[in-house]
Amino acid sequence: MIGKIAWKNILHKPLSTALSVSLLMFSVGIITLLLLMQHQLEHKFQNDLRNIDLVLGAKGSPLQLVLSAVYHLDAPTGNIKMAEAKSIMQNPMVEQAVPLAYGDSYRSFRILGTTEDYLKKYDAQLLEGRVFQKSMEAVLGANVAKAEGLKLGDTFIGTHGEAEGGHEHEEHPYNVVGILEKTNSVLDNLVLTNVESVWQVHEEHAHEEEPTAEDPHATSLDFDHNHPDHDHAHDHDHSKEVITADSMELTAVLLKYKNRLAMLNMPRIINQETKMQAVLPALEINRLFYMLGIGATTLKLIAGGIMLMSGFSVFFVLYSRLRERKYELALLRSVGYRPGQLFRLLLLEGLLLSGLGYLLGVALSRLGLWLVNRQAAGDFHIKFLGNFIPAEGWLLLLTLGVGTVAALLPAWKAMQVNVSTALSEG
Amino acid sequence: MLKTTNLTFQYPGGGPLRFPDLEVGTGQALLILGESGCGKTTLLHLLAGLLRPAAGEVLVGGSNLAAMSPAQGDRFRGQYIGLVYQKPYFIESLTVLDNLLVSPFSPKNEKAAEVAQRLGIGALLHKLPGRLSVGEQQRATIARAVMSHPKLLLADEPTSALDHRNCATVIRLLKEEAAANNAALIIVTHDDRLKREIGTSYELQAASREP
Repeated sequence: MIGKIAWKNILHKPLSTALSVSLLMFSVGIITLLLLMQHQLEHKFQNDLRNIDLVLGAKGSPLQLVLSAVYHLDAPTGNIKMAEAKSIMQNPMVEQAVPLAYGDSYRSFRILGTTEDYLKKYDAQLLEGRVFQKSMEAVLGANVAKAEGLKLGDTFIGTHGEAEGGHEHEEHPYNVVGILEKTNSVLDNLVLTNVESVWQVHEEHAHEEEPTAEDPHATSLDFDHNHPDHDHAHDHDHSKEVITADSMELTAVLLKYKNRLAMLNMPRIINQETKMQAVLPALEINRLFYMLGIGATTLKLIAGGIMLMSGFSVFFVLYSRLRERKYELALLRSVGYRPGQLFRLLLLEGLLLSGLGYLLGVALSRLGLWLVNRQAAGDFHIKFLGNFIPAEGWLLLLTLGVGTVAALLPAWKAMQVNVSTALSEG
Repeated sequence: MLKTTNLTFQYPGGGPLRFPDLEVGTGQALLILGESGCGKTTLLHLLAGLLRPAAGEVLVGGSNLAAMSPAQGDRFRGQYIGLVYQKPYFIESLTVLDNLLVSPFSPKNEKAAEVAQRLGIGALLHKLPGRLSVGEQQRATIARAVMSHPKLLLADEPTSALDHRNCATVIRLLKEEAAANNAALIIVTHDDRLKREIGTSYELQAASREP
């Protein structure tokens, strides 16, 4: 009966209940949304990192390089010369080096020229077809195939750049030879091909645009300066038929080292002695989360403030109603309830208010997540899941704690009601 | 059923209030009359265990209410004493039916329907008490008071807010319910109309308050 009275009581005053519950709902909603996104972003970023020790790419923002080469979330910092990259890739301390060449896209999905090692890194399994073997053969990530409805044997045309509406490489259609199973990694949103395909498309492209290029030899000159022994490449710069690897460009290289010492030493050497930069992705991601964390902490403080206010509102609602409820409390005593049971009644009302606020807050966070997903799915190919995370359990305890503490004083006052005085008034 | 001896109450900061010894047997009714301020309600609350006497005994069915702890008193009252107040108090958020069943010592629904039927409020069980007329509300409080089959039925000015017709009905119902439950009935009031209804009455004198 105590439970029924508590429940009916909070429903009996819908306005004050709505005030307390909505304050709790907003604070729980904001905190839960932040917790969910933080949890999943960290998990996703850690998951996609795999065993990439070092990212090699053009000089520029280290974070941009990591975001573009590992997570495919940002534009590349620029290109690096194959010849120059090769000297690092062939270093005896390097256990594995996966080249990446990109710059084109199909619809909103990035076309990535790489090797089979890249697929192995993410434990990718083929749903159907096979891995690319020749140029212009493409393997599709699970989401790409699903979103664009492509099947084995279909062809499609890449667009220059990341944005839609760029130049279309119509003369170089890709041929779908394989489709991957879902890996829940960056692979799901990539079109994978070999590096040569990307070169071939752009070789042609560069050739077409030659007359308008302001200084088509600028990169080659740099190249010659650093590696005079490779200058034969220059002769074939614009040849359609012959692609000489050393003259070509990569966007980035993912490196795995044989030991930690090399991994820590190499970036310094590369950064000082070459025109490239080498970045420890784990370090950059930690830095990114640290920066995001400052914003998230501010939001959590605000949400905590709202939580505190909602605690006060629960207190005020229960406390201010004590005066009018004096008769009810006296009545309950007179029909046989003990003071301790009245204490429980008020405590239960505080718990109900906070529990209700928590449930609605969790629902609100899922709604927020849905809205974020609608936005992020298109822009970043990130999909947040609404799965329960352990931190939400702690938040439930915290919320119920706030409700309990807020109800303590009113509950104690309820025990003190003078039954005789209350019932003889009037 | 009810027996008081040497009952004295001490108001904080006031003189002691002595009450005459009372004795009411099973199935008997007693009317305690007196002017406002003579201590009628205080006496009733002492009998109900809502107030603790400074001295003396309140024996209900052989148990001394005055010697019980507040929690024991609450439980004893819930089980053995039915109270009807001057004003009909309810838990406003609960329906009439839930108000009848509100006591932790109430029996289950069937009895509530039966009692409500007897008191003529059978059709009102699913309304909120605030929607009832004063007469209906008073019947509902009587129904609640007898729900747990009390040994002692205490009523404080149960008719002061009622017109003649309702007054007669309420008193008749109180007497019937006390008889049906084989309970002792005590009504304190300043309403002389009740003298006609209940034979045994006792005039409480304001003079019994010592200076």
